[in-house]
Amino acid sequence: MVITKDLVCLNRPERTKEAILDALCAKAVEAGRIADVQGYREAVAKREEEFSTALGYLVALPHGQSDAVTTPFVAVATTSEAFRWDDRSENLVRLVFMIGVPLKNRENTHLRILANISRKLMEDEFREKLLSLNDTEEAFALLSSIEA
Amino acid sequence: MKIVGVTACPTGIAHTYMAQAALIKKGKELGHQVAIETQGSMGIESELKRSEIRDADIVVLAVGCAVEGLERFEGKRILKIEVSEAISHPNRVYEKILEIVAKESK
Repeated sequence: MVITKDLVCLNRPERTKEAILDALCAKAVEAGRIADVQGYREAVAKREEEFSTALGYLVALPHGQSDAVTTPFVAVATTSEAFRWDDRSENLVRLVFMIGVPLKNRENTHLRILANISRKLMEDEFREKLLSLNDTEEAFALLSSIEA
Repeated sequence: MKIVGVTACPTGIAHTYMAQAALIKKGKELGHQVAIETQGSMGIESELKRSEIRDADIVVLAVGCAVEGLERFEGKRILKIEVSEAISHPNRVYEKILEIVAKESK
């Protein structure tokens, strides 16, 4: 499983990129997906430098490829309010999909799920539905439906 | 119009596929026939058919890194854009496509 229930959190109070990444990293560490937070955060920061992963639609997809990641994962957060992701764009974010992929031991099945999730995020209906949910269980069910 | 394209980004994990979905979705809405190949973490997928390339009015390259097989597009009209542009503003991409095709068809 790329997404598990303990990697989903809704209506978070965070209002900055760093704060929401901290919160999601804590989840990923608890779930045993990241062995080295520092190493993972560096990979994410490096990727954000190339170009901002907030590209509109209230979505950001910060991601890092690093051996700090033990198994591929997506940690998902919605925030209670939209916030500006970074200084490089005006794009607001309420939906954060934080992705981690190891450099070694990567299986196509996992990469395929990540690709499917990325595609799914371009569907208005899917994003609206996810943002409307207040129950983690329901959000997880919706997210799991993509993995299949 | 018939449009083919390639999407690719440095990590090839997320934006390659978002750009593909965005270009196909908007293209369908506008009534175009769109085929987009991805060159991402799983290698080349949805590989463009020779006939699709031959019949295409234009080739869109939404790429942020080196891609394979550019020789297939020799002699075609090519629009090169940022991956982020394809995701954030697919409508603008199609406006540009229409402009280019209209100009060169005169």
